[in-house]
Amino acid sequence: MRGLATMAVEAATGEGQGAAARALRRVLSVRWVLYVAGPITMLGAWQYASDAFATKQLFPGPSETFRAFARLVASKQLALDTLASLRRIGLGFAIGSISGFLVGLTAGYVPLVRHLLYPYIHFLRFISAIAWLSMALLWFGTGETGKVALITYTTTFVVMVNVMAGVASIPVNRLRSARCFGATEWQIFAQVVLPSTLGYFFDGARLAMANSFATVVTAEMLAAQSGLGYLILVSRQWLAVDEIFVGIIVLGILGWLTDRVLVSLTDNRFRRHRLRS
Amino acid sequence: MAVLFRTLRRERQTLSGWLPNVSAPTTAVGLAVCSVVVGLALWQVLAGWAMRSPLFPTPAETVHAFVRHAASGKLLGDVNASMARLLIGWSVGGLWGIALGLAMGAFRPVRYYFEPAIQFLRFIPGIAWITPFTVWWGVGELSKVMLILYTSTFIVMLNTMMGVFALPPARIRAARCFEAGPFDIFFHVTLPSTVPFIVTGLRISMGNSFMILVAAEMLASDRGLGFLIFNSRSYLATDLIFVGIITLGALGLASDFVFHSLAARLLRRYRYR
Repeated sequence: MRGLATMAVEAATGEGQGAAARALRRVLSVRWVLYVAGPITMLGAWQYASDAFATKQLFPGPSETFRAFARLVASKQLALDTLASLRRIGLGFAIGSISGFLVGLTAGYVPLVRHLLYPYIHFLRFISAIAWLSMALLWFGTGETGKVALITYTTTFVVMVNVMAGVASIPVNRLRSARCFGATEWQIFAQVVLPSTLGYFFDGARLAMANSFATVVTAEMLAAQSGLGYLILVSRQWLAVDEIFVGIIVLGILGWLTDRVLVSLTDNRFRRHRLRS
Repeated sequence: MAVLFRTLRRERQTLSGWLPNVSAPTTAVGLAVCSVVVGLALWQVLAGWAMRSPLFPTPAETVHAFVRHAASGKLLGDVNASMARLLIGWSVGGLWGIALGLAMGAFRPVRYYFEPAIQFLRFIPGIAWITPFTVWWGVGELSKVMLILYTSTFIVMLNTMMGVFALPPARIRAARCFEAGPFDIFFHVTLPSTVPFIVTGLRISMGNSFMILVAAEMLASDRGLGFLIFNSRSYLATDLIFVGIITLGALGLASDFVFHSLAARLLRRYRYR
């Protein structure tokens, strides 16, 4: 049996054969070395800069942030805030993406509806959900309804515009060929139009998810007693920047996870419906 | 249901439409105008006669508040404050984003070094940084400009990088056949080919900058459209809130239109449409 060191040398010089050597060569490639070196040196620089900073409380390093993370996890505060934010996003996102899909499909399919909706869609598109916050608070109060309504608003528009673009991009020949095979209008809808727009729907849903996170954080900062946005804002009052960093990092992780879920749905389950250019 | 499908089928077959010739540009504009007029009338009727509540200002009240606020010069002050923050943050962030995106797209080691960090930071909503930024730079202009700068840097950078990746290899090979060095390839092939992606990134980041701007002005400001919207709530001045919202939408629409048509005119040779 050959030693690990020999294997490493063989792998690095490109002489080694077999799966183990290939895997090792992959790890030792410039790309992966840089992938690992990047975050490590950046974390190091962050810690160094924080240690050199005069008032460390204003700029905590990674170790202080991790301690704050452990503290917030132990007191269950972090779990409660995360759940509060996720519940708002989940509800608003579900309502918004379903209604956006239905309206987008109708508007894409029926020109009359499209022309009637056109001016509203293109004006409201430029008004972010945050701008409606004051009105949402007045109409729905400071409870959950207002925040869910804002997330629904932001999701609906993005999904609707994407689904409309999806319906518009169906090649006419695809509809014609379905018709040549004697497909009924219902079959064309269910087997041509719907599958062709699913990819666009998921692209829109990804964008909408990113917007939902931004909306929920702002809404929680301005009017809430729970949630990650509230955690970030309230920590400022006693200058607990380490807890602010924890909130920000948890937001990043949640955003990344939800995006992965949506991407894997698009990539695997619906790949065969994708338009190929 | 069957009737609806028959109608749809006829429309699909003729590819012209449901109503006679509905796809003609004049008909489309006419329908849009009708839709807006009916919508405004409906709003006036609902808010003016059905609701009759200070929570639902009518279009007439909104126009009145707009004229009042514009005549006193306050609206212009708010618009100026907001647009100055937006334009500084967006343009500086955009330039940074272009430089970083080109460096990461064209030089692999740079990309490998920064990629994990960027892939993580990308998913943090920009507005979450408002609290540390105000702790570090105070509640003045700097923290708001930095927030917009941060947001637009990211979007422009990712779009520019995608543009470099989308560069057809045959174009680089062709340049090499004409004995172009790496310097020539970067400035005469990579950069011009990336221009449409850069402009698209700048447009998207303009939209996001507006969103961040409003949020930042609501949280920490005493001027600007976001402040107008948030502050008017305390006085229950819903007509002023609507003035703020509509001005914001119009500004977003106008800046996107101006930027897009300028870019389409000036950058035609780079295939930006």
